[in-house]
Amino acid sequence: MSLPQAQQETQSFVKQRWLGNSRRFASLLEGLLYLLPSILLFTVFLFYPLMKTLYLSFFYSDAQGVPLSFAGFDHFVQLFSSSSFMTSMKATLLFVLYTVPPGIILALALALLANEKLRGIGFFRTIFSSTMGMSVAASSVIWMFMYNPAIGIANRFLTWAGLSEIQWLLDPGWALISVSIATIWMNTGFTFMILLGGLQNIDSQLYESAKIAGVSRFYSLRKITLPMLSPTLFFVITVSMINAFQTFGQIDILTKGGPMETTNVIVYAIYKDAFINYNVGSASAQAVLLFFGILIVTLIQFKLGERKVHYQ
Amino acid sequence: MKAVQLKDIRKSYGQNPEVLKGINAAIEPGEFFVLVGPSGCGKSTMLRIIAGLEEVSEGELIIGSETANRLRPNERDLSMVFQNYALFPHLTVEQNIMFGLHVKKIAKSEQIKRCKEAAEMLGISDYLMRKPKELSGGQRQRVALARAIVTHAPICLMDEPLSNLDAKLRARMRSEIRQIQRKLGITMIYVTHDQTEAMTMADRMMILNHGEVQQVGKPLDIYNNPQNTFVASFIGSPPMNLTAAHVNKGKLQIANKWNIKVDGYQDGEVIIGVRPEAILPANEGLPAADVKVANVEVLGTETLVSFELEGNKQWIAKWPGQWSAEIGEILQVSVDHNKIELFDAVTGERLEKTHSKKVLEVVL
Ligand SMILES: Nc1ncnc2c1ncn2[C@@H]1O[C@H](COP(=O)(O)OP(=O)(O)O)[C@@H](O)[C@H]1O
Ligand SMILES: [Mg+2]
Repeated sequence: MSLPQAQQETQSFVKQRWLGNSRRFASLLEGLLYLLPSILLFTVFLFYPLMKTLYLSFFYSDAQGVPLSFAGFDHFVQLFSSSSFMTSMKATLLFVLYTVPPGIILALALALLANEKLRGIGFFRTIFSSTMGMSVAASSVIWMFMYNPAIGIANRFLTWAGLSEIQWLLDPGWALISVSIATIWMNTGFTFMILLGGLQNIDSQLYESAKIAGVSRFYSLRKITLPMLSPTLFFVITVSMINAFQTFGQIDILTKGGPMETTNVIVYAIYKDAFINYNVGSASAQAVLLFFGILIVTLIQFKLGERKVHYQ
Repeated sequence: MKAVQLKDIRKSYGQNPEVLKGINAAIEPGEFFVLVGPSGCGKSTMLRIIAGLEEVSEGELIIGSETANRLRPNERDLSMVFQNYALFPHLTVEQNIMFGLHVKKIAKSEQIKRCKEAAEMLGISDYLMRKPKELSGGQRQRVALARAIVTHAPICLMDEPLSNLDAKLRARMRSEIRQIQRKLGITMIYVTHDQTEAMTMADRMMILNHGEVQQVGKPLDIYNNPQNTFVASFIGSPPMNLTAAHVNKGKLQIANKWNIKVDGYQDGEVIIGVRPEAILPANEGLPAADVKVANVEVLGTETLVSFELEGNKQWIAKWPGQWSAEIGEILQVSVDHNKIELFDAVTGERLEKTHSKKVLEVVL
């Protein structure tokens, strides 16, 4: 190999590298361009508010939310010593407990029923999923009428059954349960649809094989349906939990956090602190805690899910 | 080992036309019985009826000595292998194989023993702890077979169990399944659309088309005496060459090439059928005609020569050995008159040869 030739090759090698780099850069730019709309949307509506919330949680601010002076961890420390925040935490956790497991069990039972090959089952599938089409506001108003102590159907039903009437939304012992019942009803449609979809994805030959083996229906449910449905169940549980933690609409319409703060779940507490008490710093701190709370619960779920969920 | 009898079985789904139009068959105990036919002819439906996964619309199904029409699948004493294996993805191979054995009141130790035996028989002992997705297609197939074996059911049903495997593996599994069946002596009812599988595996086979039985019998009897043009063209690879011909005063002509003297056949239209191996390269003694070669496939031990008959119609000849004919070349070929089959031009039914009805000789 002569020297000029070697030189030339080195040059072309350098050139190629340079071209390679610039080409990679160009393709990165192209990719970013495609992502630009969602990046913009996420930035404006998600990243910026998130950062701003985090920022505000470390400041004392005025009623307009303008930060005045640095507060450090003051807000957080105060929250953990405030009985009102503890009540709100308790209400949130109880609300999750009251709505998620019963809601999913109910939707699963309905989905199992609707998955049977029966005459006119399509009608029931439509009915069971219909609550998905209703807004939280509209559903809440309906439930408000049903819970009305004087004219509501709930109390009439109790009287008819020979039981004493209940102050559904006014009795501190009942308010959270009442809101939970309404919430389960609102969420059933969505959960039902997703679970039914999951059930219909299970290969029917697995059941036929089980039929020939002669195992009981309950055994089939336990050993085939539930394991095969586990990815769907996992998705539904995660989404339902996150939803439950973030509930606001029905609380605002049905109880406004009352009576005696028994339904003052955390998102409602944040709303009241920020927009009624104008305590933006404390509200932001609660929002940050909620964010990390949900994050941790979701991470734990994924960790547990790895062992229990059978992906195909 | 149990017999299975079908008596005028009919099946229709809802208001749709019948899928099975009166099936009659008697499957002997310990027999390897193959149901073969083109896709959509009702094979799976029939197997599922025997398994109890579909209801009979009309007719009687007898398993062993009792009417089984109303028995539940698990009361029929049979096992089934599905086309896509129907393995449980979340269970290990071992759990898959033993699935449901507890229902039969089999002790745990006996279950494990049977599982070990079956796994050994199929060569999957090393994979017992794996999940199905960690297995190859062939290994999954073996797990499905093992699952059928451990039940010790006297009847085994299989619905196209080999159709997801590659050609080489399929050939191997064919002989393995056949050997296992022989060893265990179970009654096997095996569905396939592949005539090679049917020919190589069956003790007896039933050919089905549009929900109607075309012919039942031993593979070679069916090959040598196809009952109608459908069977003639379905069984055999390449299939029997068929073409319309006209009988005129004891003479029959194939495409202006060969004249055939026949005896006892009425004048009129017929369909003439000649197996590829009954078309011979010319040699002394047999009258030969000129044909133009359209394609040659040399398969090593034999050669398939397609030649133009008339118009666009081609016939295929199968000759032993390796033949190097050029495309477009003119060859001299003759037809073995003993192996000519005649079919009714309208019904497609075979025109039986008798001592008064025969194909005499080929002349030019
Ligand atoms: N569940 C069903 N509902 C309606 N028609 C069906 C059903 N199962 C099969 N069929 C019809 O029955 C015919 C035979 O089907 P099948 O037995 O699966 O054929 P094969 O197994 O021979 O390919 C087909 O025409 C198919 O469309
Ligand atoms: Mg089929």
